[in-house]
Formats: sequence, C-alpha cells, structure tokens
Amino acid sequence: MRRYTIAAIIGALILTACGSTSSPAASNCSKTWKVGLVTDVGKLSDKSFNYDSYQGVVNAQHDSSLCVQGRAIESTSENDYPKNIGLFVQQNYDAIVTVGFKLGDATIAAAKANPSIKFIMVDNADFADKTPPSNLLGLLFKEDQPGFLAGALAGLMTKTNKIGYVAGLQSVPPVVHYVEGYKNGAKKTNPNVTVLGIYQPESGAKDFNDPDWGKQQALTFFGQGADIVFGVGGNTGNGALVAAKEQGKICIGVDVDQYLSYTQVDSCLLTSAEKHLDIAVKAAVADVVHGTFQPGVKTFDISNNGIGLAPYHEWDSKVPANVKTQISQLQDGLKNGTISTGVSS
Amino acid sequence: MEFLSHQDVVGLLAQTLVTATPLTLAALGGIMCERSGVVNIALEGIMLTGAFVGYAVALATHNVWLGVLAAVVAGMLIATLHAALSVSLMVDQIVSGMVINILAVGITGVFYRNYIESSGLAGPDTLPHWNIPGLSALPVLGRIFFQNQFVTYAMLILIFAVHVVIFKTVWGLRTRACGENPAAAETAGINVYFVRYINVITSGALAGLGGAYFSLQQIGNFLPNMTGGRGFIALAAMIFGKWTPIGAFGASQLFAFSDALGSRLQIANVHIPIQFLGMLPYLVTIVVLAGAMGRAVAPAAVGKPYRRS
Repeated sequence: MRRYTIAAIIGALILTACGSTSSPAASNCSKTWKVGLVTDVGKLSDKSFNYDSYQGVVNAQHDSSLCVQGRAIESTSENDYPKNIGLFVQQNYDAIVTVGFKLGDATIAAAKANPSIKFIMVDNADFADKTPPSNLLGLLFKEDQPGFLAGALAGLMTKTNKIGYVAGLQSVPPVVHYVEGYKNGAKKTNPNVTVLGIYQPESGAKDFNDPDWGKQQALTFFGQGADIVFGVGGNTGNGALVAAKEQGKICIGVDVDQYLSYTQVDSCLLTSAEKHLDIAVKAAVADVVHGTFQPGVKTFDISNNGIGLAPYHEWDSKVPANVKTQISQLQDGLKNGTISTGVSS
Repeated sequence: MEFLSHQDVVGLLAQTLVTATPLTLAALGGIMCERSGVVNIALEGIMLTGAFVGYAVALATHNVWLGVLAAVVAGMLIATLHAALSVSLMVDQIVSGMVINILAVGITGVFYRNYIESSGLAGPDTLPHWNIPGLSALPVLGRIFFQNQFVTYAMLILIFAVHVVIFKTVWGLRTRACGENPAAAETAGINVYFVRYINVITSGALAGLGGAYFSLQQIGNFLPNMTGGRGFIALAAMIFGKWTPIGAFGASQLFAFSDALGSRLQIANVHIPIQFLGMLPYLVTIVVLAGAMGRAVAPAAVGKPYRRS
C-alpha cells in the first residue's frame, strides 16, 4: 500500500513539473511555424526581461499573417539551458529564441549542431571564433542609453542628491550597461549626485529572483539618504521597487514599462528604462517566416527606436517642465550622436 | 566609512532582524518537530506552500489577514502529510520531507502559472508597519524592535512561547521524552504517535507563518520558488542553536547579519569581490558550526520511525 502512495505522489510530481505556455495558431495557414523560447533563470514571471521577450513571440502568434505557434520553457538553473534548447530541437522547431546573455554558449553550440533551425539570441552576440553560424542571429540593445536617460532624470529629480540602484548579476553585460549608463546620466545632469548601488552576488536559483534581498538593499539606500532607486535585475530589482513604494520614495523600472507589467508599484514609478524586446523578437520571428532572416548581429538603440524611456504616467504632473525639456534634449543628443553615454560596450 | 555611521548601524541591525524572521520561524518549527523525534527537512516546502496559499487567499478575499491565517493553515495541512507519511506509514523521514519539498515547488508553480499569473490581478498590499506606541520612540531599540510588521512581531513572541512550551510544560516534557526514547515514553503512558503528530503539525504552522513573510509581508506577490532555500538555512540555524529556540534565534541573527553586512560592504565600495561578500553568511555558518560552538547533540531518537510493539 505504501509503495502505491509513493508512486502516486511521484506521478503527481511528474505531471506538475512540466508547466509550459501555449495557445493554438491561426487555422488558415499552409505551414505553422513553430517557435520555441527558452528563458533564463529569471523566468516568465519577472514582469520585465523574459516576460517581454516572450511577448514578442506571443505577438507574432497573434499576428495571423505570420502563422506562428509559440511555446516557452522556463529554466530553473543554468544546467537547464542546453537541455531546454534540446527539447525544442528534438521536436523540429523552426526557430528557437533564447533569452539572456547566459544562454549564449548553449545557443551557439545548438546552432552549429542544427543548421536547419534558426536561432535567435536575446542579449548575446559573443561569437567566440568570430564566424557566427549562418542560422544564428544575436539581438543586442544599447542598454546604456535608457540607463543614461533614467540616471539623468533621477539626477534632476532627487532632492537629497543621493540615488541608488539594485542590480542583478555583474557578470551579465546588459545589467552593467544599464548601471554604468545610469551613473553617467546622473552625473551629467547633477554633478553633486552620489550614486549608491549594489549587484546581487551569484547564488544560482536566486539570481534575478530574490525580491526580498532586493528590497532590503533599497531600504538600506533610503536609510543612507537616497530618495530614488533604479531596480535593474528582474525580480530582485522588483523588490527594490516595492521598498520605494512602501517608503514613499521614487522608483525606476527596467526593460519594459513596468507601470503596465507591475501595477502594484505604479504609485512610485517615475519611468522605466526600456528596451523594446517584444518588438525586436517579433521582428526577428517575422524575418524567419518571411525568409528574410539575416544571421549575425542586430543592434537596437535610440535611433531605431530599440530603446527608450517609458512615459511618466502618474508622475507626469510632478515632473517639472524644464526637466522634461532637458530629458528630451538628451534624447535628441543621443539620437544624433552629439552626446555620448560614456559607456563602451 | 558612511556605512558605519550611527544611523546606518541601527538600520543594519533592523534589517538583520527582518531578514532573520523566516529563518527563525522555520527553525522554531524544526525544533518542535525534531524535539519529538521527527526530522523535518520539509521546512522549505512548507514555507513555500504557506507563501503561496497565503497570497492566493489574500488575492481572492482582498484581506491580507485572512491570507496570513491561510498560510498558517496550509502549513499545518502539508505538515499533516509529513506526519502521516513519517509517523503512521513509517516512511523514511528524509524521503518524506524531500517529497514535500519537491511537491511544493511543483504544485505552487503550476497553480501560480495557471490561475494567478494569467489572471493579471494586482497583488495585495504588504502587511502594515505597526509602530508600538511609546516603545517605537526609544532610541536604537525602537527602530530595531518596535517598528516592524506582523510576522516579525509574531516571531519575537513565538521564540519565547516555544521556549516555554518545550522546557516548562508537561507537553514539552512529553515531547522531549518522545524524541529521546519513545519506547520508554510509551511505557510511561505517553501516546507517542499523538505527540509526534501534534508537534509536526505545529511545526507546519510555524513554517507556514514563515512563508507569509515572503509573499505577504515583504513583497505582496508570489514567485515560483520564492523561499530560495531559506528553509535549509533554518535547519542549519536549528542545529547550530542546539535545538533551542533562543539558540536558533541567535543563529538566524548571525546568518542574517553577515548577509546584510556583506551587502553594505559592497555598497560602501570596499574593494572585495562581491562573490566573497556573497559567501560571507555561509562562511560564517561553517566556521561557527565547525569551531566555536562545540558539539551539538540531536535528540537521540530523531529520524527513527517508532513502531509500536
């Protein structure tokens, strides 16, 4: 009897362990393009990075002209990356989107082994041997630009001349680009500003996924006199936003307009430093469908609307007109190249 | 060295107390359980279940307090499963605990994905901060102890409650008897199964409350696997505190303190690689466990299923 109990429990585990997201493709298609997306450990519920990349796949699926059927697998640890990519490979997917810098090695290896499948890497274009396979596209974003604009805004809005950031892993270059841009932007508009900041130490499953820790760090900054915090690290950064909301401070979101994706913190959200992952991913998927896929690297920056600053929403009336003017001047400057973020990537 | 200023040291200690809250609660649960002779490595899974159910109920009823209650009840229910498996069915207690840990990750993840995340509901607010009148105005102590949220206050009270129950009551004596020598306890007329069931379920209530810390007190949101291994740290705190509530509290504090200190060193731009700072709490735990603390002796019958003869 006991043996059956245990067997039943293990059976239940196996059933529950495989959660994936999908919905059927449109029906009037001669061929359905199967697109698989593999998240990093931040998972789809991060309300920013993975979430928005997957939105690109979902939007492609909803676009009936594309005939795309999208699915996502979430990774719980870094060991999952090759395995999860392999699942889509085995099922002969047409395109596989891998989200996050850390999936780079696994993606490049899979692309070389499966030349008939198109691979799209978000946030990585690090082709070690300089000869990218012809079925591999890397999407890169100039995160230093939205980071710079967010920092410039924070520098103008702070009343204490102290601002903070709570970041994800330092080993992930896009995170560092955001942060360095933020620091430089703040110094640009406010030379007296002090920027307090912290990166999350590597810890495996808690990478980008430890809001409690992120919250404690933001509270530390507020205790040291900061009045604005930039949350730049998935759920870890989201914890910082919660802290700002509770303490009546100002928060700045990341990757997507978090006013829409994380409504709980709306009251503190000044803006978000956005990279338009959904647009970039959808465009890349559309290229696969249309046969216009170009391997190599595609860079998104302010000049092709690949990045930007989200609307001020509830803060719109509280941001002084001269601040808004300065920010749009900086945007123009970045666009036409007269201003540099001072961050080399 | 701004991070050593007076105000910031107080902030550091306040942060330590808050961060230590779930560790202490889960460790108290572990103590109740192990003192009666049942190993409970399921603390992690119980906390996660509490975090999830508490959040789901708070979302459905728009009442965070019902959420906290639900977290406690959910912890008790899943602990009942552990009791049934390990006490009645005499499954190996480690296996039973591990089953619950894996089960909790799977089930909470699936329900979250399918019913909560897709619903797009905004989360409930976090538990309110209560400033205790009078006491919260005290210098230093007021900021650390008397400007907290419910789960942290509950933890402070429960440390003493569990201490009294284990060491000052008849129930505690029976509990310890079952943990040291269940056969002798049974001979003396104690119903070992009953004592173990109640203690395991109590441990579920404590760890379930610890789960409410994550979803309802700190973040106002649930995330898959959001307890992030703290149930296992709590287990270490329990051992390191020699199976006593006050010892476990001290151990949790030490762990949380080194964690918070590591962060502050990084914020203060001390030039130590952040990987080392991140290791600090674990290093401290190992050093203290291995050296300064002396031998920790577990209850003699812990981990052994008791078969009535």
